[in-house]
Amino acid sequence: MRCWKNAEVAARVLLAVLAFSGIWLGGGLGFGSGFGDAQAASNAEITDAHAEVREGTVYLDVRMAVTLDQEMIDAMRNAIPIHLTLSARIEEPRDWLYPRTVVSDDRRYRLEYHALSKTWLLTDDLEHEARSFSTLYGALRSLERIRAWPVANAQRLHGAPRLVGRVRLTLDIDKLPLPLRFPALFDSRWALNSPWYLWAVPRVTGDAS
Amino acid sequence: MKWQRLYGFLIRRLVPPVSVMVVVLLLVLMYLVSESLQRANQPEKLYLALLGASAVGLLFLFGVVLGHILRLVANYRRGAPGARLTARLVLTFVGLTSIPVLIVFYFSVSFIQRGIDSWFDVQVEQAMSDALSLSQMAFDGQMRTAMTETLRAADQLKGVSGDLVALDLNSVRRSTGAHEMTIFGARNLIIASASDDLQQIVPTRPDETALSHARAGKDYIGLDPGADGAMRILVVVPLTAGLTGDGGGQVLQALYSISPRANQLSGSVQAAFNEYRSLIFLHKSLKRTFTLALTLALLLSLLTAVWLAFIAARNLLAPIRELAAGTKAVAEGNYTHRLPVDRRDDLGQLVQSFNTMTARVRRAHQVMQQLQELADQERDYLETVIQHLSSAVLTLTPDGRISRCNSVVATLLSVSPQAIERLSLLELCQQHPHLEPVCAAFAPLLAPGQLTPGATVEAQLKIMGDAGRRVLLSRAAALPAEQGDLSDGFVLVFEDVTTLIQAQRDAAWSEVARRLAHEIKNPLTPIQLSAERLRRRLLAGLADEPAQILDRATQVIINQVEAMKFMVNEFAEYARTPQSTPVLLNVSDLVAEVVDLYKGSEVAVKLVRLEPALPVRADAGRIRQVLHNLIRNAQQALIEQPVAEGVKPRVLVSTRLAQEGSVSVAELAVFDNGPGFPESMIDRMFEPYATTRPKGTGLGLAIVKKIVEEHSGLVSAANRQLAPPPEGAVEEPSDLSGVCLVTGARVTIRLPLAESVPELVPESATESVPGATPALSSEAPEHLPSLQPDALAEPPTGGIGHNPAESPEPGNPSDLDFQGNERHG
Repeated sequence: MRCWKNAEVAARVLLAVLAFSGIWLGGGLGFGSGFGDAQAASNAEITDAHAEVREGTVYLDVRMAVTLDQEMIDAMRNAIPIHLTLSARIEEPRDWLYPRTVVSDDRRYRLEYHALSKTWLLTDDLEHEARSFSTLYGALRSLERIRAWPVANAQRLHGAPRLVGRVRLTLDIDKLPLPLRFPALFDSRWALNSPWYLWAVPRVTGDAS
Repeated sequence: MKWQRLYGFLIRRLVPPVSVMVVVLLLVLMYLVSESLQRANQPEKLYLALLGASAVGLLFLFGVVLGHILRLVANYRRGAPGARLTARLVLTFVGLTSIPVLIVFYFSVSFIQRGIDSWFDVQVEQAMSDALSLSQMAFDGQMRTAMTETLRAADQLKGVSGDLVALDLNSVRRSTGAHEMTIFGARNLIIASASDDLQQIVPTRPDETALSHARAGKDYIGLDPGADGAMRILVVVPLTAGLTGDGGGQVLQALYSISPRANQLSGSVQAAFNEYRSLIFLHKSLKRTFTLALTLALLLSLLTAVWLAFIAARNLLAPIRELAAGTKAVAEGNYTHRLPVDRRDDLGQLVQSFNTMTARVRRAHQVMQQLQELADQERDYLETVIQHLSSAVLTLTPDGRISRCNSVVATLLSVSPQAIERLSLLELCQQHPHLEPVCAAFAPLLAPGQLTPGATVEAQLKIMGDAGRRVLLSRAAALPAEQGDLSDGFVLVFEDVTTLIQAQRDAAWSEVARRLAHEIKNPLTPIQLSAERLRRRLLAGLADEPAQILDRATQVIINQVEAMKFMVNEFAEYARTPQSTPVLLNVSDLVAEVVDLYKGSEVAVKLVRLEPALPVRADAGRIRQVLHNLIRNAQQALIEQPVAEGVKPRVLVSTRLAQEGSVSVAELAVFDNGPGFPESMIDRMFEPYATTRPKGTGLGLAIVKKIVEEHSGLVSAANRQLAPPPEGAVEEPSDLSGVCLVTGARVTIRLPLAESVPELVPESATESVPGATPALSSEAPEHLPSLQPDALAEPPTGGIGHNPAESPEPGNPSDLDFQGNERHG
């Protein structure tokens, strides 16, 4: 009986140790540090997307609404660039199966603060062009309007009966500095991923090309 | 069952190697994580993948450990062998490993926190900001010059008409030293542009803020980082009052290059500043990340420690568990359990010893069982022997209670063996008064210390049992005790010597008779001849008076010699053992023949045949002699001792089938209505020379007995009592009506039937060789006291005996104990 009690006490101590480690681990993961602070959350949303075919290429115009949390602005002001990816997909839905991806294209942007010139830089990887803005607002305004993004060669869409286009904006966590990556996975302040926005793929006629 | 087996297989075979792999993998992951932490931004996707893999691995380990813990708890509750020890060992191992790990963990975390905090310094931070400001200030001079130059250029361009502006712009640009100059019109359309870089077709688009600034009539100056890291000075001024009407809407943007050296220096300052700022911003996250990595390492260590503790405990305790199970099996009586010996350490030796011990116990147990069986056989053997002894055996406990007895007790002591179990000797005698002599002889001996073990006390007892009087040779002995001086109980042995004593007596009489006949008969004839010769020679020549004397004397001699001769013949007859030739005959017919001879004799003889057919294997002549002896005896008794007045002396002979236990026998009985046998003689009635008549030799009944016993029969004599006839007394009242054989002597002979006859006669008839009608109740003679029914049990000898004879064979081979049924109503 006494032996059993000793064992029980020891088992409880062990459990307590494990629980303690678990809490520590949870703290280490960044849980609870502003987690669930809905008002301060970052947000991105595709408000409009429109595609048209010109000269054998599908061009996509996208409008977005991007709200950055103060935490992200602070990060940029502290010389941490933010990489954003605008992903466009053209898919062919299939019965009983996940849709077949016909076209997939990503467009990457880097948003950073230039301390010396006190300007905001928005770099477009596609155009290899860096534009400086004296305000963050200007930079975001520029980002929110994407014009004439050549998504695909119209040839690839030829003959497909029914196509669906999707587009979304995501925060590229892997490009964040390492200590931020894990918290950014779970922190709403870093939750900049927009939901998929569906857009209509224009009919590609035979003489389009 | 199948699933359980599969589960067991998985647990036993797969989990340990997988766990080892997981632990190794986790160690590698930890190493990679720490490496990636050091190398900051290098691996992109790897980090999260590593974290995910670690989490999965840890979960697996956690699952394994949890499974172990749950099983241990279940075993503990169930009290499975080894569970407690396993729990203690596991807890010890876990304690031993987790405490140092936790201590190291705690200090590591503290050091990381403090170490990272110590990277930052307010002064350094300030210095960094100052350096940046200094860099900016370094550009101030250039920026002022650029502003002045641009304003001058704007003045030059004010007067130029719209079409010529483009031509003039390049010369103006060169004069100001600007890298690029662009004029924006309404809606930010480019009106004209000039650049040093001929390859650049599209001029740099200005910031909308700056443009709107300029449109409002204000000058804008700032640094433009540029795409390739080469900073430039950007100046935007309004071009007021141009040649066109709407020139107020035009702005001039000028870009001035900065010297590469300044660019480089400012770039490095900004890089350092950025680095420092980002570190400050990230230091909390960094601490968390380090803590996370350490926590993962801690969890890995702890889980691995617990898991290894379980495995170590299992390996350590496997032989102990087997030992416990083996011991339990042995305790439950299973001695065939053998444990595998697969170690060479101390536990292996222990298992070896256990096996040896079990084998020895098994052998001992087998020997014990064999001994037990032997003892059982021995006991059964003794039991059988004792049960088949002719002696009655009683064993008594040390406190004098009967513990066991054999079946002969029923016969010899006339008590049921079951009824006397656990009785003390005194209680036995109280319940069975006829055993009083036993108590008298032995009860005092049973007191402690009276009878030393091994000593034997003998006594000859006479008891009255169901079968009459018995002489028992009794021995009492104390059983040797295993310890101490007191005896371990007693044994009483009773031997029936009744017939033996009788036989001895008969043999002695036969010898006497033979010698008497031989010694006396020889001189008798010369005596007789001499007397006759005297008479013949002298009688004629003598005078009257002497002649008369001689005549009387010789006559007396001759008569007496004649009488002696008769007597000697009788003795000779008694001692003689003629060759008997038994044949199958109907004894009932034989009796009828004999009775016929007595028709018209002085005393009437009547025959009552209750059973017409009584087949008996017998010598007819000898049986006739028996009947003659008995009838004559009865007649003479009636003649010599006259019956009461008004009663006609009669002799009655009856034949019937009687029941002796479960066996039927032929019964011949001779009754008379005389005074009966004298009470003093009745015990010895069949012994030679036992006679009540003055002229009798006392051999008549002795010969009867001898002959009957030669035929394996039994003879008894009794006086019939004055009593009302018992119910079922069939024969006598009906046949002897008016004859009134109420009292008188009776001699009964029982002979075994030649073939087994089914039980024809009812039990009551057997028991009632009854008295007579109640008519002559006054007939009771003086020598008919009320006898105990059993008092006649001992074979009586004829009261009216006649002749001597030779040695009888005691008892009958078939041993139908006929005497037992002698009853007197």
